[in-house]
Amino acid sequence: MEHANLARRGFLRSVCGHCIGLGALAGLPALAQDLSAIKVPPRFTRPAANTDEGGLWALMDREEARMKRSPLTIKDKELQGYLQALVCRLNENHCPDLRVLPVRTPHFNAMMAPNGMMLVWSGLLLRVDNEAQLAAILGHEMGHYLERHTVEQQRAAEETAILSTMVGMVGGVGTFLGQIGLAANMYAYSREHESRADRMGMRLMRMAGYDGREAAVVWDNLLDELKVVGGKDAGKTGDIFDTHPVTAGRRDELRQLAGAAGGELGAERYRKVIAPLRLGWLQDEVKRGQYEESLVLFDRMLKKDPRDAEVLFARGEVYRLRDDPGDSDRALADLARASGLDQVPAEAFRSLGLVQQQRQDKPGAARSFQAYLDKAPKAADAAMVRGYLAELQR
Amino acid sequence: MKRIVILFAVLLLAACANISRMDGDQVVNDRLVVHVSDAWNKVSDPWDADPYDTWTQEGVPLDHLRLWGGVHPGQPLMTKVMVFSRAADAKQPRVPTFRPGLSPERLVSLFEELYANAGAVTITRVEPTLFAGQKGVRFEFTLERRRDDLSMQGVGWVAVKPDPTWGEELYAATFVAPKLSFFQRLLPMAEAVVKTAHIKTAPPAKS
Amino acid sequence: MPTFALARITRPLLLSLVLAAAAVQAQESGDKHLAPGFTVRPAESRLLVLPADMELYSMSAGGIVEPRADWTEAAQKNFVSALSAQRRILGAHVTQMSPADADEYSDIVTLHRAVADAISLHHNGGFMELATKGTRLDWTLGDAVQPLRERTGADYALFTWVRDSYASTERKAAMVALALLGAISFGGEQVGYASLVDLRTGRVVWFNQLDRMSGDLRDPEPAVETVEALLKGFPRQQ
Repeated sequence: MEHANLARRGFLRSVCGHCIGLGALAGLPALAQDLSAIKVPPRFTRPAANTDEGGLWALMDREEARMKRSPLTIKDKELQGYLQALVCRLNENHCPDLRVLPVRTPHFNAMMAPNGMMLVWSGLLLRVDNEAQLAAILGHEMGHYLERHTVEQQRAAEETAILSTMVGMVGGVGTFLGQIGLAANMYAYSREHESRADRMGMRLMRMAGYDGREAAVVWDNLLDELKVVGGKDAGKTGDIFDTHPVTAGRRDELRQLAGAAGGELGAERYRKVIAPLRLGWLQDEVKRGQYEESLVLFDRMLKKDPRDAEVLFARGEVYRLRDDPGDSDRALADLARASGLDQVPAEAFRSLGLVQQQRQDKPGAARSFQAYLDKAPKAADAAMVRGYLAELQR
Repeated sequence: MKRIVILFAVLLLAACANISRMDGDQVVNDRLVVHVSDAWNKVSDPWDADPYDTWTQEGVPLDHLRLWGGVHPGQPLMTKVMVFSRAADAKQPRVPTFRPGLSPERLVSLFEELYANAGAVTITRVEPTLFAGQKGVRFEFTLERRRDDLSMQGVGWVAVKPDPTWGEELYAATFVAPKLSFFQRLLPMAEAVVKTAHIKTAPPAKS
Repeated sequence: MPTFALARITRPLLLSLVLAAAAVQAQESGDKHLAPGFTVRPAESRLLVLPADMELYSMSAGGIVEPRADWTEAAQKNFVSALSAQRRILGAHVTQMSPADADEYSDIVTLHRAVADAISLHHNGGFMELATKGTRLDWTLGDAVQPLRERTGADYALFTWVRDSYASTERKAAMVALALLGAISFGGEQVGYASLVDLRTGRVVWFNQLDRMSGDLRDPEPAVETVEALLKGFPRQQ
C-alpha cells in the first residue's frame, strides 16, 4: 500500500527523469537571444478544488507535508534559507509561493511541483560547481512551474493509453527510483516543454546577474559521467521514451542561449554554505559503489582544486574499495596528500592506515591509525582500529 | 467465477512467492547451517534471483533476517541495484561483489553499499566477532528507508572461510527492523539463530 | 479441464485475483479481524481517532490516475461526519486528532503504516500467511505508541487509510485491454483499512481491510456506507 506514495511522487516533474533528448529542435524558430521577450506570468492563485490542477496541488501539499517530516530531508537551516533566497533572487514576484526542500539522495536531480514545492537532491548539490550553476537548474525548474507544464502534460497524457498505477509491480529493495523513473516517463515532459524551461531558466538566471554560460557547464559535466555509464547513443540523441538524462544537443543550445560572457558565479558563497554538509554527501556518493562514475566526479572536482582534502579522501576511498591493478598506489597518493592538508577529515587517516596496512607498511599504518584515534576516539570502528594498532606495535 | 479464482490460486501456490516455516535445523545455499528453536518465516519468490535467503518475523514490510551461505569469489551479494535514469543499453551498474583477500572493513563496505540502495545508511559500530565458527566482523547500522521514510536499525555478521576449491567463501547474516520498538524486541530472536550458525562440512570425496 | 496459457497471464493479474479471492474470504470470517483474546473495549475507555489518510482519484480512459482535490476534500468531510454518525459504534469518549497535531507523531504513523502493510500482505488468508502467526491477528507496535497515550490519555487509537479511484465511462471501456497488460487497478477500486490499536500495549486489536469495486466517498450518503464497510465489526464498548 505504500506504493501509492511513490506513484504520487510521479506527479513531481524531475529534471532527469524527463531530461529527454532535445537533439535537433526542428520546427522551432531561430533561438531568441533576446530573452527579455520571454514573459514571466503573474503569481498564481490556487486553482479550484474541482479542477485537474487543483487535484495536483492538493496531492502535492500532502506530499510536501510528508517530505518536511522525512528523515531524508536535510534540516540544515542555513542551506534551506540559502536555497530559498536563491529562488527569490531568480524571481522576487513568485518567491513567496515557492518552497525549496533539499533531500539526501546521492543522485543528480531536482523536481518541481505545481503547488510551488521544489525538491533538490544532495547528488545535485554535490555536482554543481557554483551558485550560477545551481541557479540554472532552479531556474529551469521554475520555468516548468511558471508555464504550468505539469498540468499541460497531465492533460496531454490523457490521450495516450498507458499503464495505470504501478501498484506492486516493481518490488524489492531500491525500487522507488525505478517507480519514479517509470512515473516520470509516463508523464514525460515534451521536448517543447524542456526547451521552454531552458529558455525561461536562462532568462531568470541572466536577469538575476549570473553568468549564463554556466548552465551549459552543468550538462557538460553530466555528459562526462554519462559517458562512463554508456549506452550506444550516450550524449548524442534522445527520444521521448529514452531514459537518458542528458544530451550534447541540450548543452549546445544552452551555450547559444547564454550568448556573450559575463555575470556572477557565486563560487565562494556556494562553497561556504555547503561546507558543513559536503563530506556526508561525498561519503554517500562513495557508498553508491559505482566507482567509475564517482571517479569522473571527483577527478573534475580535484582539477578545480587539487588541495581539496575532503575530495582527495573520497577519491582515495574509491580507489581503496575498487582495488583494481594500480589502485592501491593511487589510493595511497590521494590519502597521503589529504593527510597533509588542513581540512583533512579524520576518516582519511583511517583509510590511509588501511591502505598502508595492506601494503605491509607497518610503521606508516601505526602512525595513521594513531592519528585517526586521536581525532575520532569515539568512531564506530575505534575498537577494531585499536586492535590493529596494538598488533602493529607489537 | 469463484472456482476459477481458486484454481488460479492453486496454480499460483506452486509458482509464486510463498512462506515456509523455519524450524529446527535449516541449511542456506547448502552450505550454512543454523538451528532454529523459535520459529521464523522464510519468504521465497521463484522469480527472484536473490543470492540470500530472506526470513522474517513480522512480515516483509517490517523486518528481515538475510542469510548468505558459501558465496564464491565473483558472486554478487545482491542482484537488484538502484539505478536512476539509465538507458536500456547502458552498462550494468556495479553490484557489491565478493572477491578474495578482502579486509574486514571492505567486507563491511560491501554491506554498506548493499543497504545504500534502500536509503541513507550509516555504520555505527564495527567490532571483531566469531560467525559460523570463523573469525569475522559484526557491524551495526541505521537506515532511513527511502520508500516509506521509516527509520530502521540493523546489525550484520560476516566472515570468510578459506576454501581449497574457491580460494575463499563468504558467510553472512543481516537483521533489519524498524528502530521504534521492533528492533530491540526482535533482535534476541535473530541473535539466537545467528549464534548457532556453522558451516556444513563437505561430504567425503568418493574414492 | 481448460488449459491455462500461464505464460501469457502476467503475475500481477494472478496476484490480484488471488488477493481478491482472499479478501472475500477474510470478510466472511469474523475472528480474523480481532487479536486473540480481544472482543470488546472496556466501558469508559477513550478512543482517539487519527485523521484519515485519504485520497480520491479519477481514472480516465487512458488509465491516467488523476487526483481530485474536491473529491478528496469532500471525502474527508464526509468521512468525519459519517464517523460522527457512528457514535453508536465508536461509543462515548471519542476525540479526533487534528492533522496539525498528528504531524508531531508522524514517526508513529509511519510505523503504523508499515505494520498495516504487513497485516494487509500476510493476514488476508492468502498464500502469504506467516507460518508463525497462522490466522492470528498478532501484531504490536509495542512501546512506540506511548507518546500518543501520554499526550491524549486515550486507551485506543483508530487509524484509517483509503485510496479510492472512480472510473470514467471511457475508462470502463478500456479496462479489459488494460487487464491483459497486467495492471492491477482496474478502475473504480476502493482499497483501505481501519486499524484499532490498544495504546496501553501497542497491540493491533482489530483490523479490517477493504478491497472492492464499489463504494463512494464523494457524497455524504454513500460515504456513510463506506465508513460502515470500513468499520464493519468494529469492537463495541462494554
